[in-house]
Amino acid sequence: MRHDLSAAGSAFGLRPITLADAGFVVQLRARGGRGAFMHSIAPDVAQQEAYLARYFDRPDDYYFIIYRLATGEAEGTIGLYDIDWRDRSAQWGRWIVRKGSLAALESAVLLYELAFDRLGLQMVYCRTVAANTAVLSFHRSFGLVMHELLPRHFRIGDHVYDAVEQRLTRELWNDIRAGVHATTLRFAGRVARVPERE
Amino acid sequence: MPADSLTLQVAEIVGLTLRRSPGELVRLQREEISEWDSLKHMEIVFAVEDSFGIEFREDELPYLNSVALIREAVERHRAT
Repeated sequence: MRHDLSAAGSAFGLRPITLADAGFVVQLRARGGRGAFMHSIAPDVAQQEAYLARYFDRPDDYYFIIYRLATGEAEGTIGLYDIDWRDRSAQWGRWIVRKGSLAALESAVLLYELAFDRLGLQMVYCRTVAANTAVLSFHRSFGLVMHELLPRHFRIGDHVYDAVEQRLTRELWNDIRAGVHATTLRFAGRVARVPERE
Repeated sequence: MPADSLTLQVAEIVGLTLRRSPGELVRLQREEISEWDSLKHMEIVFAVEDSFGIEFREDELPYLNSVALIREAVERHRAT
């Protein structure tokens, strides 16, 4: 949906995706390096623009560009969607950072801040292809708790994959946020910044 | 060829962070070690920096993807 949520961390920020980002998304997916576990997307810019146009009409779906604060350069995408306002939960995903980018950790931190602090959610979950051990490990290291295995949950191309659902509750987030902030702050100390934006 | 002392020191740090045997880590690349995720990568970088009193540049960080590559980078920093 069209939204105005954004967030700035120490080195990276999140801003709403726009139609003008369609080309970046296509490039990012093409060069992402984790193709085996990514859903295929509209392969050209015009089709990606059409996908984004449909996304703008979808309620409770927050799609972001991850960008570098110092330059404004886009470095990835991330999204929060399938929001259930009754139990105040949502799924997050569409998480891709360009090869070599160091935005992974801070983009996840910013997403959790938006989910828990700005949207008032109580629980956020991720569903990851079970064979994607790097991403599963990241979520586990971050503090997410394994919830369940979802057999044959994803179809990507001609392949069907099991998924793992990992969850982070507001209480867990409150326990771990100081630690992950310290890590992102230390890292940000060496990433060039420009003066604060309006 | 047996690993040298600097390699063993780096392997020890990486092993402590990943809770893996330093001996096996010497032979592996990051993509072969599922526990070596983005968050653990930062923890490894910071632990190595603290141990050797150095600071890696931002552009070096994505490429410190094995004990051998970290060892090389540590050696470069100590030489300057």
